[in-house]
Amino acid sequence: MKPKILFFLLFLIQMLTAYPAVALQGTISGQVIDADTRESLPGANIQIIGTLRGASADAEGRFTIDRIPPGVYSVRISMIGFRSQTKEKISVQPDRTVELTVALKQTPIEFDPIVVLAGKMQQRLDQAPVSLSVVTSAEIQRRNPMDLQEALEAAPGVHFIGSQINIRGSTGFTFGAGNKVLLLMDGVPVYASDTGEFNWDMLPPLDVEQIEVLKGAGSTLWGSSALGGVVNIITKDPSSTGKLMFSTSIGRYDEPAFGEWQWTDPDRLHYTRADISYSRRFKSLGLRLSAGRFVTTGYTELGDAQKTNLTGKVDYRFSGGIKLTTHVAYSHIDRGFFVQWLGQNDPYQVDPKNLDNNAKTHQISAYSKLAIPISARFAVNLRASFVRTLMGNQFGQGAGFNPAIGQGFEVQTDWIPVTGHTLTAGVQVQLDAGSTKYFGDHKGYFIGPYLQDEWKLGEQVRLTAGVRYDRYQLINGQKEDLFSPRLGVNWQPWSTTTFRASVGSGFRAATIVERFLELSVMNFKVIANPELKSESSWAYDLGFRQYITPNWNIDISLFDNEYWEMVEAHLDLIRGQIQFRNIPRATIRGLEATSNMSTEINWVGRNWVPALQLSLTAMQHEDRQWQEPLPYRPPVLGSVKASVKTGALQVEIDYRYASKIEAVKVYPINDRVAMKFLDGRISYYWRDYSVQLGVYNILQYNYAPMESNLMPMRHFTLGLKGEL
Amino acid sequence: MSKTNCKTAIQRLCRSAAVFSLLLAACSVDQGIEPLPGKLRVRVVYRGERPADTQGVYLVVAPEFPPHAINELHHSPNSLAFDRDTVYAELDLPYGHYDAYMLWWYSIDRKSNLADILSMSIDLTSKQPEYFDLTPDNPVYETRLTASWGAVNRNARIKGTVTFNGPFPANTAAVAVAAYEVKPEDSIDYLIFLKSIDFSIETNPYQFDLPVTSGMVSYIAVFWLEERAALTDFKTLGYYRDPRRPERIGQIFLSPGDIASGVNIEADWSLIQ
Repeated sequence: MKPKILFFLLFLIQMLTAYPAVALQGTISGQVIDADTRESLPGANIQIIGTLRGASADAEGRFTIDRIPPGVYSVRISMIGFRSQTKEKISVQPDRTVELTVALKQTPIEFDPIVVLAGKMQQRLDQAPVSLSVVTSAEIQRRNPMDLQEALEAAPGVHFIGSQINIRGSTGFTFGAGNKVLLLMDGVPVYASDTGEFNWDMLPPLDVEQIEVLKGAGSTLWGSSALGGVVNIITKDPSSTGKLMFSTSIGRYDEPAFGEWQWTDPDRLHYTRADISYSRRFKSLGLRLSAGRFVTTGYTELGDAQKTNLTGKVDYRFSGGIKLTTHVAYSHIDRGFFVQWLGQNDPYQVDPKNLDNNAKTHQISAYSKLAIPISARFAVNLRASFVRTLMGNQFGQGAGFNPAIGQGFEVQTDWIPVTGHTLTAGVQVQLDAGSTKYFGDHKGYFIGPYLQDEWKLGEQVRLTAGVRYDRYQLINGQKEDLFSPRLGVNWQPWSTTTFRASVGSGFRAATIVERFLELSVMNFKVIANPELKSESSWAYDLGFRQYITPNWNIDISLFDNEYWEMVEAHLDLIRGQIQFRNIPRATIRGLEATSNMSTEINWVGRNWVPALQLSLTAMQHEDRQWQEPLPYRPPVLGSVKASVKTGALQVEIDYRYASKIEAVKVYPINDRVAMKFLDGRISYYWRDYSVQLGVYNILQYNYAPMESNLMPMRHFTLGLKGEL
Repeated sequence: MSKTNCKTAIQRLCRSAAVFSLLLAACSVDQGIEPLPGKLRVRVVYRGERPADTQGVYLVVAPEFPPHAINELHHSPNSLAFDRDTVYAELDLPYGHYDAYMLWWYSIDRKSNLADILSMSIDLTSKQPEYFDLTPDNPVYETRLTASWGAVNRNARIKGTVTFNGPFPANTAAVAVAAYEVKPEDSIDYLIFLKSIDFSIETNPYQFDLPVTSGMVSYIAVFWLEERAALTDFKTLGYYRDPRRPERIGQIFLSPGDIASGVNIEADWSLIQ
């Protein structure tokens, strides 16, 4: 390297770090404990607000954050299942150590979790300028889901059509090819590079720390596919002490709601899930290994499935706070392929000539992240990712797929040049490749530099402005240039009140499958459309959050998502063809309201902790060209989650509602109804073990989110979890 | 907490759960999608020689006829048997009014289209399809259909070229060339008298090869269908003219095995403006 360049780089680093190396620095250390039991809380998260410095509590709940420039700071302490606390006005002096002891109180609802989706850095949910929902680890454990889809489906504004996620009606149903939501695992994209779809079985639910849902466009920071929202699945870190966790569930399906629908002996319809995870830290090396298996007969013909997961997460902490994390997840799925029912009077059966339909998927996703905290004000993050998806037999036509491979690389820098400004800048490169006999060999890549500034104006106002440019190039094909700006504001006039407003854009390049697939499926032929354009959106979001009491908040947001060139499956019924085409203009606008409450009461000499979470999302969606509702999008979503805990016993009721879908594509004359699912669970906790009995779809309600596909009838699950 | 208090709490919880369960059981609970209560029962009699490329025969019911789109028809889930002279078929349906019922033929070799109606019951006085109603008082409608295999036994061919006088409009759903036994006069005729149709016109000029049943072909025309138009909302772009008297519609009689060539049609986009 030429001496001048070297000198320039050194000068740049010197400038960026802002504080000279010779400056004396201080330390914050302390212990985090449970306010009720006074026991230590290993794994608690400690963050110095306004800096890039933080730590996790060790096995004794102790933590140390050193190399802190002198000053007055706010320190936030959080832990899953506990109410977060912020210690204000912590004065750090040169060569001194500030000692903190923090007692956290348990809460059934995480009112104000830490999120990373909004700004690509850790921040409090109520300080984000955009609408977000969080599904916490505690909630996932309480719901005892069989996969990540079940874990997510109770989040406000989230609705699934088949396995396709809709955030505020974003995706509809695109026949399994092309999702208008970006799925991340620990901030790294993990979609299949040919279809753009997600594998909700890629991780066992036991491995999930938190799921964040960003509502609306997020391409400024996250790039392509963050058109209608982003889901970030945050995996658990290795625990500070050796910990063996297990979770096992067995379940069975009830008889169908109507005797004439019974198609087999109901006693043989069952499912089993078993997961085991070992986690331990050896000084600087952290390790987490998990294995899971799910086997089901299903509740329909071709509903059978066998799913296997293997995951591993390793981190190594170098001196100076540098941390290298590598995560590998492998999943194998072998399942029957139920496409549509035989008829409404035989809804659990398929056409006998399709009884051989099955699908196999192997997926391996891996990423490595290197976090380099150069100073309290400057950090560099490097990420490399790899996703390989191999689909086997589809529609009984024999394997015709080669592995679809997605590779990504990203450099991100976080810099606090002056107090109050946090600059996030980086560049992301993503290469997606797919190859099958159905669409040939295709590759495309993105390169996207981005820049965002979060500007804190006093204690009350945070302004966010960002922009991203993406060059999308389909190799030997079209190229596109896409700009994704974003502007947001978060105003907290009082500690209990937050207003937020944002406008941001998103885009999604059509997937390889949407552009090039040529395939005959039953009586339809899928036709390629190589000229398919990228779809884009502008999302406007206006929100208000109010704490009525410390344990009761409401959140209301108005949103307007405007889409251009929306990609939807077009059914040419005359010629029996399906082709993905652009809808020139579409709009999804509406209102979302949520409320979370929990309290503690003494009744009949016992301590009771009731909690209630309500959500309502009302949407109007329209294809502006034809002034018609967009298909497969219910206009109203609602949920009620009520629980009460006393001692070791917890009882929960969940109710999920989705109004009748206004428009469908394949069989518009089929009966359509609203979704009304009531689930109940009763759990008993004893030391580090819990046993749970769950009854799902208690009312035996028959709902088809898409034509000719009934959701499960009532089913019962007995689960056992524990830590050794 | 004392044992008594704990017992009281659990008793109250159990009582509450019991009351809640009783309330649930007592309510008339909406169960969403339910089995279809009505039924069409048809005795099907096949006549003639079955085409060798027969894949299946489906019982199809139209709540409205002509249907706006092909997916607004109720289909039997499986093919009816067709290896004997008489079969009985049933189709589960919701209560309601149905304009027409028919048998739809599927070929092994090619995609099914509107010309593949094997049999439809027509009221001879009104010249309209026979309708029926299913109600709670009359949940089952029983009838018969005679299916003449000759209707789909396309043992002759018509070949020709369609030439367009300009590009296809952007709002084109499909362009077709069709052969009719009788020149259609209203929307129902477009289906009833249809002998064969080819919806795959995408080039100019387009060379077609229509398989048809033998007999009289009174009208061969090129149609344009606008995006989202009803299935029979055909707009005529041109038709085959008598080569000797071009002001007249050209007609062809085909015996089994005949191939009529040189059936050329000029399609004029100005006719739809």
